[in-house]
Amino acid sequence: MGKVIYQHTNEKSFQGNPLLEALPPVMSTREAARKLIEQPDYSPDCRMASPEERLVMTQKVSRFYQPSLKDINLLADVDKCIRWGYSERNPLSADYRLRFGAGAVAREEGYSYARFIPTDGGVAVLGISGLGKTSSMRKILSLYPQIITHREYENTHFQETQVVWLHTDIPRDGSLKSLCSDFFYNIDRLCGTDFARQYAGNRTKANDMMEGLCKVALNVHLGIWVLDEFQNLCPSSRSNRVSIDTLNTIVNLVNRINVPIIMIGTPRALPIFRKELQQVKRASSQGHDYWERMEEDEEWEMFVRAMWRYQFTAIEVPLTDDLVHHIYEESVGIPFLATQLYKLVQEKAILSGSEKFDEKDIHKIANKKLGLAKPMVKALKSGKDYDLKAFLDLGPFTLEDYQYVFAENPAPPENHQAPDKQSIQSKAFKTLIGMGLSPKEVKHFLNLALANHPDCQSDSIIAREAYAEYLKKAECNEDNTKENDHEIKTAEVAIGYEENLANGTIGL
Amino acid sequence: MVSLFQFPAPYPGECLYSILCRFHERSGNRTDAASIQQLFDKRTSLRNTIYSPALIKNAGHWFEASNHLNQDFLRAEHTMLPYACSVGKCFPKQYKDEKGNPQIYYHFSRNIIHHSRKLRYCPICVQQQRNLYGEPYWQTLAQIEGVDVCPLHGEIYRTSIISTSDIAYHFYSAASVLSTHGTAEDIPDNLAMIEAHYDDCILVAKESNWLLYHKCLTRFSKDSLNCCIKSMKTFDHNFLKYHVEEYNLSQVLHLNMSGWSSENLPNIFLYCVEPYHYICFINFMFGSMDAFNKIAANELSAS
Repeated sequence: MGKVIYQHTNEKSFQGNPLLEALPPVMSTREAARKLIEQPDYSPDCRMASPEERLVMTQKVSRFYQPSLKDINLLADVDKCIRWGYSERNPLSADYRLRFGAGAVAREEGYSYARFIPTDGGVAVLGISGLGKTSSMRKILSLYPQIITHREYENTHFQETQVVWLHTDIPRDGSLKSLCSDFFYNIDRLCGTDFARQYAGNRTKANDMMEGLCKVALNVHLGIWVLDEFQNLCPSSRSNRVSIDTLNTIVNLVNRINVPIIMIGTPRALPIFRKELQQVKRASSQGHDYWERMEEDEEWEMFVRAMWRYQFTAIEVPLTDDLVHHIYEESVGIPFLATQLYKLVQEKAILSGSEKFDEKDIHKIANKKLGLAKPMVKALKSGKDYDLKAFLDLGPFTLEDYQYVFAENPAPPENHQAPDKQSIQSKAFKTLIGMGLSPKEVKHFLNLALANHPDCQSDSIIAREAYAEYLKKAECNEDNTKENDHEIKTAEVAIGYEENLANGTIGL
Repeated sequence: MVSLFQFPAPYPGECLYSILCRFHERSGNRTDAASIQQLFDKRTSLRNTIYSPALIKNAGHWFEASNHLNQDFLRAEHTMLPYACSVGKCFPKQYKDEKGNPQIYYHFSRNIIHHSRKLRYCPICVQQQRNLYGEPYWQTLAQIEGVDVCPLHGEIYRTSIISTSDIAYHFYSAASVLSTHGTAEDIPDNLAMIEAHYDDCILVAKESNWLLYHKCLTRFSKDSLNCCIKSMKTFDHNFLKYHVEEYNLSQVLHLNMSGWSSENLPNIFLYCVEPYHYICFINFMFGSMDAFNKIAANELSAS
């Protein structure tokens, strides 16, 4: 095991802290971009290889990664979270033991709360699937050592294990026990401990697991915890109580032991940041980072040009503006779809023997091979509200939408014209359908909201109030075994909506 | 090979048991049994870790030995071994382990280990430890029988609620015990005696501290004592005069003066009295442990 090299920093609050001094130095933007780029090796000579070999090589397109400005910004946020999170947790300082030691746990008042330490909670990264949030995060995390084993610091014995980052997915059911178990298993894998056996047994209560999690996270000096698939914590009829407990655990980590949390999720996670869950908002004190699809602009062109290099057909297909546009059209600015499309079109060209392709091939492959994503792509292309909201993982939530819908006293948007009641009702209906409620539930809670706010002119406020009523009811009803098979749908909702429209269940 | 993912650096004057308590807190283990298993690979009583270095033989996998921390350092600085050897209450014995390697076992005589004794602390030391390290710890010196006051601050040691029998299979760190119980109320039972003989107690405390952390050139034995007393006649005279003048020492020593003679002295001290009696006697004879140590070393090397 290599010896840890401690690098002294200029920042005074970082000095004398072995956890910080063992981290790699802060990188410049250029250096960061250089480290994040992943460019599999390529040579034009590979076109001479056999078709079978070139088919294997096309996989390199999937491995290609080019960071954008938002990746660099995310790296900066993550770096801030790690360093400032550690700045208040120097294990060599008396203050650390006073705040987190056994004495602080045992006492009900005293040193541990003597000084208010503002916490740098974390970052929330939200965006539709396929934009590369998880890939970017994994790349960024790879720039830091995951585990540092200290033996000696400044000629004194300092035997500690530091886990700089941990990346786990929120379980699908959002359960606290599953999340804690994942945590303990990961720590055991990294540190060679047996916390999973001690804490994650079947008979262990969730509260005990939560306490154990906080204790272990503190003892391994956890830098940041990246929680992916954060939308799985979105309160739903199935798992309201469970999700809230898990959320509380996450917030506890931030509040009690200053571990920053990075939350990655789709727009379906937006309701978690509603105003009632202030503590979760506080946990993302570095802010929300909302990732949009790429626009068809210079950045997109740069991306496609960089990707185009990885071409394995025997005949070179030069990149034209038309091709750039058609790829954008089929992938709607989602880098993952673009790379997949490019890879698949090449494979088709190699397999068919034509060894070349054009725009028509791109559209054919998109229709044939990207079929599962087709409804989503169609919705994104159409840009229509009701289509998009049918896919809970998609927009069109812009930051403005989010702020407008969930703000305390939202101001009506500009150029607002007083809509008629039918229009308000139908728009609110579409919004609520998009948020996962069944038509039956929507009708019930919508009527409730309209009755409570008869003079309201905003469909967004009506939708919000209706959703609040829905959540209130779900919280009261712990044994909700009501069938809500309609609640979270993907492509099926669009079909359900059309049927409802046709049979008069809903009216426009 | 080191198998513990963390092990705390010992604080100055901290006893081995306290170090292991802090290990348990930092380990994240849910139960005391889990920590004991990690340290010793089997269920083991922790009682002797207050005094004895016996369990340090397991320390091979606790930490990576270095100049700053190794098994010899732990024995010398964080157990009662140097003190016990100096006052003749510890006898090294050689044996061979499972692999046939020669090892030394330190046998502590019975009257240096007290199994029903409460753990003790100095309240001012505790406060200073909190300021310096953020947490207090159990000091080796405070657990020595006969040391009733803190040599640094002159404070009478307080007794905690934890006794050496309680700690058999449990970790009670000073940070958790002293945080939840008052530091002013734990008055020792022998407070009256200590206050009556306060000067002797300070003397014993200071000299015990010296014995604990200085490498004595000689340990107490018949030879070391005999070679230092040049004139038994003068000694007898001085000692009796001292005693007749009813110096406190006689009360502290609890010696039955009838039948006493200087020729019996070594046997008396080896078998009949407590280490603090021995300290008082040496102070009477030679002024200090340091002085006796130097004289004895010179005399023994000359002979």
